[in-house]
Amino acid sequence: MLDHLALSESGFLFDSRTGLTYTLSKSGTFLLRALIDGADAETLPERLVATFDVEPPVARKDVEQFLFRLTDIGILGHADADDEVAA
Amino acid sequence: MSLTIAVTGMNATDNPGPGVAVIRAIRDACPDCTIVGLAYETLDPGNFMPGIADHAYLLPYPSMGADALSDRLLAIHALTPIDVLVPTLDAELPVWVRLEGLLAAHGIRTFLPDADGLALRNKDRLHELADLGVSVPKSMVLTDPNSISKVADELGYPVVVKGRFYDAYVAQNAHDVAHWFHKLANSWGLPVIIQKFVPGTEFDVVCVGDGEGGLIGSVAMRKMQLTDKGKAWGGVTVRDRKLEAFVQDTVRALSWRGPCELEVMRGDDGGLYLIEINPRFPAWVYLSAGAGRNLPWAAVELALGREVAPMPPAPAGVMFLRHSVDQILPLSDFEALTVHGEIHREPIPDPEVADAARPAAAPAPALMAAPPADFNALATFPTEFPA
Amino acid sequence: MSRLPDDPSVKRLPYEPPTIIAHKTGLANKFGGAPAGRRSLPRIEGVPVSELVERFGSPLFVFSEHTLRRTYREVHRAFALRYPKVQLAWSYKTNYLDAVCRVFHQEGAWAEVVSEVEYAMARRLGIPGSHILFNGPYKPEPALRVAIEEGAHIHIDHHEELYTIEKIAKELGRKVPVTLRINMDTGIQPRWDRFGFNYDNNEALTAIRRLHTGGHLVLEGLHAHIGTFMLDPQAYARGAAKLADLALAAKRDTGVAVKTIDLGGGLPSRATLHAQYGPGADTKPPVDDYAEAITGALLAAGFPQDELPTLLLESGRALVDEAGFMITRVAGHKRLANGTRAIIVDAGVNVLFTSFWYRHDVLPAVDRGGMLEETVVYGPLCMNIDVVRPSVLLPPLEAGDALVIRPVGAYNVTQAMQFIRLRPAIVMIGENKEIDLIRREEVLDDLKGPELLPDRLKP
Repeated sequence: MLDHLALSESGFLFDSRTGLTYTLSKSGTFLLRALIDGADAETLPERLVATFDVEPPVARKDVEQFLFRLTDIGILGHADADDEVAA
Repeated sequence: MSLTIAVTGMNATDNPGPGVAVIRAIRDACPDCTIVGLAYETLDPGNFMPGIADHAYLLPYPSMGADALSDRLLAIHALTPIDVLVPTLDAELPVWVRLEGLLAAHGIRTFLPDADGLALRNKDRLHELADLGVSVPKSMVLTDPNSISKVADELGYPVVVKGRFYDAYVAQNAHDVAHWFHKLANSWGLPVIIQKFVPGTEFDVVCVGDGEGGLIGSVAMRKMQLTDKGKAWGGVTVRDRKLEAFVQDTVRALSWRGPCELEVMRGDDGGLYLIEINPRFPAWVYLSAGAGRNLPWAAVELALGREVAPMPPAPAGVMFLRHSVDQILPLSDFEALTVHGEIHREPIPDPEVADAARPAAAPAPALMAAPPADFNALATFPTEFPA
Repeated sequence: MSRLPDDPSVKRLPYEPPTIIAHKTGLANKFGGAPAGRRSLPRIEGVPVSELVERFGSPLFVFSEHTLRRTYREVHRAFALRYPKVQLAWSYKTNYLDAVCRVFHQEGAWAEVVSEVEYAMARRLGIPGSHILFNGPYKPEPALRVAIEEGAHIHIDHHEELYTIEKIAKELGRKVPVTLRINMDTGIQPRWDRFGFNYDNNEALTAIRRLHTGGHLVLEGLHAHIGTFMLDPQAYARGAAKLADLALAAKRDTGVAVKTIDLGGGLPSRATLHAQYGPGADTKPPVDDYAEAITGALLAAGFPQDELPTLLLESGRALVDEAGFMITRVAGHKRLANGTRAIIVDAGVNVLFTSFWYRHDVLPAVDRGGMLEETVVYGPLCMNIDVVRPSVLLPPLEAGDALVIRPVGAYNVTQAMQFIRLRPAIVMIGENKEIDLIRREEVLDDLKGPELLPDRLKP
């Protein structure tokens, strides 16, 4: 579903549909990688807590903002419901 | 021992920086030299051109200050030890001149004008050269748009409106001046320089001065083809005794040290006027190598403290014509520069070997080297994407 | 710290918030992992910012006594090395906190005041009239009377003032020494010609002759304040040469030798103007260049050795700016509609008035790592103009994180407004790292105390 996104471990992202490139922070890379690999968005906060030194309430808030931003800039398609991450 | 030369100005765009031309000239003279390309923008094409930089690095903008720039350069130096640095951009020069002593203490040699010389060639002080006997057009310096009304009385139209570091536009009236004043002030800061327009023919001369009044060499060029920004896209070397004497007199009057480009106008009245001094090589400097007067290499040798004999005048009739090429590049190169700020096409030197091979320099303070890029990760980066 | 619920032994990675930055023209983190571009300021004069916030709250102005004294000595030394008679006068309007003024007075500075209010402040701090330069375009007659009686040095700005002082002198039955304020073309723009008498059109020399023939005033000095944040020392050389020339002309015409030449203020600090390309610290010429320019012009002017005038300087910004810091805390952050990161901090243009002209350095007290990103720094006011920095590279920050803004020692305290918010506390870190509260945080009564509510409007 997100196979148009090429994300390298360095945090470099190429969107093959738009040709745009991005840089992500380490945790951002981790979360988007999980989404590309098919993770359910609901599970992202707990994945973040399991890997990074962050409290669950902060993780929930940050994941929410991050997903909003990914949608806002068109990384996660919001126009085409079929492309939407299972949430 | 092979030399490592670092060169800035990799922006080989349609308004190019001189870096790529300087590197090509150095490569002609020294095929074994290792070249470190220093860029201020990821998308500077020189970073990606084959045969230009062995190592490409990004620098912080000069506007971030001397500390940011020196920290970054010394981190690069720790990874790929630099023998000579050749800066090529106006905006960065005051900072490099300030850092000259620090760089020398780390074994990085330069051959630059001193701070006074650099200040004197500032576009806002060019009129002071008249006191040194150099012929310059009348000009005024604006720090405030309210003074634009005085241009008509003091200079008369048309005039040339110039930015502090770059760009120049011809203005026919106060309205034009106001337009360019705000544009140039926004881009390059204040002041903005207004120069009396001299009708005539422009010649551009690339020079290297020895700092004691002597001229190591010069090549004069007439533009044959211009871009829409008025930059040379093609040109031909010229020889003119009067111009040669003018160039020698100017370099002597300034005791210019290092490279520069003189923009000289031969007025319709037959007189020669110095329009501008750029304190670095011009983007067309490869023509000097083409004309058998390799000035970039001369500058490198002078930086190394070697004797360089003054060169005879360059032959007339050597032509250059610039062209543009669509370079195919792996996305991983772009990624390396974007994420890590560096691309390495040659192995990073082994620090111990490099140290042993280097002449003793003052002990460098402990530096935090930039972590080298993870090449395996880059190599595995996908280059094909689903349709 | 936090523990993993099921396996406390697993070491988790250091956290920074998930962020994504689109590559546009400039790139947020273009230096890879290199240290360049990462800056923070965990301590001011050795005192942890966190300790200052904990003790005194936020926002908080912090002044370094050490920097005040060091800067004063640097400036004084630069001039005193080159010229035998030098006196600095602290420009009160730049910062009239008692503690700051007293530091400079202890160092030997006189006071330069521009109103009867500032005059009273200086007197209140024990400065005798003879050590006060009374400047400014408006000095009410009662104020002039007090200043003359107390022997202050009065700088005449315009003809009406000259007549008023003559009248007072006549009444007192003694000759009053005065200084004339002169304006002139020093080759810089904008030209400051609204204060004093013009040199270039001979208005100044005419006023000197007029003053001399009046018989009640004695020309003691000449004063010129050529501009503010002057980055060209040569402008001072031209100003000093013209004042010296005028002084010698006055001697020829009236036989009276001028005792003082006052070059005013206007020396820059290391602050960065918005229009400047690089950091101010890189562009600002060293104070020695100014000293060389001014004293060189005076020494070359041709004064007889025994009539060399005393050089007065009225420095403000150059002495105090770098000694002042503002600690502020992040109240929140957001993404603007165009994707730009923004933070809201608790100190805005209400207390950092100079943000309109200067690109102040904004540094996190603690840099926990993470991607640097261009960030807008908004103040706390419900006003669109409340912008501390339109764009500055900052690491990820959380609400409550402290930032340090510098240099803010000049004009911000004196121009801070009680607009929307009250004014913050001010502390001084002493030479021995002792921290003194030098102005407490304001309370509502500081603002509302002077108001009177008519009975009919009372609740």
